[in-house]
Amino acid sequence: MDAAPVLRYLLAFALAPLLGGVITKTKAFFAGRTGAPLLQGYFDLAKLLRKGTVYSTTTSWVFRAGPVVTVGAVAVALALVPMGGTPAPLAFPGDFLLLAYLFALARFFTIAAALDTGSAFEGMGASREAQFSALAEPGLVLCFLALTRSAGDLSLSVSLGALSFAAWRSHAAVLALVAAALFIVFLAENARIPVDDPTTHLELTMIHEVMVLDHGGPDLALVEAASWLKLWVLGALVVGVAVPVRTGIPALDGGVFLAAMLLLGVAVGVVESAMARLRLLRVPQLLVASGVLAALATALISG
Amino acid sequence: MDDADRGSVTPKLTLPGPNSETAVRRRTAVSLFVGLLAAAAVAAAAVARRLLLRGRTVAAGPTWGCGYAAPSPRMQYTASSFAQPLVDLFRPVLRTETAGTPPSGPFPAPASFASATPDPADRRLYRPVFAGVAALFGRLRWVQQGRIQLYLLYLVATLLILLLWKVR
Repeated sequence: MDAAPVLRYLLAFALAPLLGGVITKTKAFFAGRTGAPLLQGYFDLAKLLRKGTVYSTTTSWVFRAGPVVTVGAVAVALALVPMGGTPAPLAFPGDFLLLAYLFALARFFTIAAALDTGSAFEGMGASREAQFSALAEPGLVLCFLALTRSAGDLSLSVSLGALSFAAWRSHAAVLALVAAALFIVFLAENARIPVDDPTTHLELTMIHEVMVLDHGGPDLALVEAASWLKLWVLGALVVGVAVPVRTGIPALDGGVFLAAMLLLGVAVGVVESAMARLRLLRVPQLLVASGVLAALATALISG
Repeated sequence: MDDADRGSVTPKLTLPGPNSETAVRRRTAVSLFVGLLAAAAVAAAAVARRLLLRGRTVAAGPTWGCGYAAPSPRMQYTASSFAQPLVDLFRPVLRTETAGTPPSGPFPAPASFASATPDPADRRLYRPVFAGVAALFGRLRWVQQGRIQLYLLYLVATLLILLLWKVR
């Protein structure tokens, strides 16, 4: 087996918290502040990993399983995503469905852990998460369907690897629709504005943050790591569709991919600085819109 | 399609025939590998947490209540609260029924609220269909008299009809 995919996997694993740093730095720039250091994500992880923890007496093994299963599922999901033209370490026909279901598994355990605390706050967050992810999932899977159909192969590595700027010239409409739908799913699944606000401090307005209120120490570190990895996985899909640079030199392609990922972080920061979150009742409309865009792309590629 | 003629197909098509022996074996191997990998990742995270927490304080306390110190199970999110956003989204299909009296006036009297979301498939498909079927076959009740002589007569009549049909 070629070592390059595994190396890229490890690099992605190591760089994922940096993406969050880029987002917060961009937001700080727009707000005229200095902002947290770029490496704040690593500092937070290091701090949390040094701490003890407190478990609620209401909780059971379900709560303790939550962070562990979530981070495990997302770490495997990362192995399914090709980066910069290099195939993923794990690639087989139908792997995109596994990716969708690994996310579902992670989400299920996060929701179950939140409900296990018995807190009404966390129940509320879990309920919102269940609603929004149920609406975001069709968009994601339909995007995969459009991509795999356009490449004629059922594996994510091959169908994303087959993309190039030539494909953008011949299938511009389809790829633009897929990229837009994926970007909406990327924002929604990672609890970013306009769906969720990662910096809010009021429980009633939170979605993801409120679900993990009762996690502390190493458990919170696992939860944080899982969300950085998830940000990277979905970001890599967006970048894979939007910037399919194929120079033929793996190192150069990888470098461009990395630069595009950081640019994506800047783009998220710009989105978060330029707009407020949507009213909760409007969020389903946005998510359904992403599903419609993806369905349109699928229809175009099939027609 | 078996593995021998795979070479003639364009290499893009990586799915060998869905039921060829190698294809089945490969799928099984991939599923097993990915399953084990996921289990290993989860186990690694669990072991890492256990090692990290060794020798540190692992305390037990109340669930975060935002300052409220006496939560009770009655304040938990219920199943219907959990499902409410999605149920509400599919309101035209699910038709949640609500009943109760809202509080009113400056000194509200005790108020009540109850909601139920009956299964629409049960309510509007299975029940009407099976009620119709039951009514239809209810009309045939007179056949069942509970007398063995009559049932023997049915048997003989059936055999006779079959015999006549065959002879004809």
